[in-house]
Amino acid sequence: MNLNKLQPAWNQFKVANSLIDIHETEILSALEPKKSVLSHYTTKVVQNIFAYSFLILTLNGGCSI
Amino acid sequence: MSLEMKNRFIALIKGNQGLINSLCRLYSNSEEELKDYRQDVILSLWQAFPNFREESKISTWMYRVALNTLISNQRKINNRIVTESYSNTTEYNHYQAAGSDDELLVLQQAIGLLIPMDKAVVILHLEGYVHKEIADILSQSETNISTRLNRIKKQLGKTIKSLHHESK
Repeated sequence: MNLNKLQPAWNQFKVANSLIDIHETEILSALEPKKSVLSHYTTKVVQNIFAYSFLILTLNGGCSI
Repeated sequence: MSLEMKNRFIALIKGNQGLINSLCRLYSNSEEELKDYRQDVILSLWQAFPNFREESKISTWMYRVALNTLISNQRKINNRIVTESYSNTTEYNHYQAAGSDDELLVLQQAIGLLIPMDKAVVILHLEGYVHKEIADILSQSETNISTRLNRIKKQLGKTIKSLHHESK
């Protein structure tokens, strides 16, 4: 098949798609780094470790701070 | 990065929205997917933007970054069997509803059924790039591109014939 036959349809396709506006807000939101699920999970685990450590130290009567 | 650079980038995206929309549409199966892919492409372009040295045309650079992003995305998430009947695929239904021009629909359906790398090859060929340039953009050998193009021509010929036959 001669691919040149598809050229007019391809040009038309590009023109049709150039009419779909990409909004500035969409561009800016794409640039914001996405917070990964893993890093969110890790942060939560670390927060919990600190919270439980504090509770064990203070409520167990073993802390002399 | 500076505000000036951000503004330059926004202008660049808006000036080439036809290119970005066309590529993302050919790689997506739904409007939702199209938006997701567009975000991925914009992010990749932004990350590559500081390294753009203007040694190549801006459109060539955009094709390189966008197509490689779309291909690697699809490798990760899309292991669909492309050999199933085109009338059962989501592309067919999606694109059938997306426009009105017959030739345009046939083009989208036929290209939509190709595997990701072949889609990129045919897009670049339709954009007027020669085999060597396509090979360079997609990090493939020139021989590989020539072989692929021959196979694509045959495949597209068959698909388009079937689509025309089915529309009658």
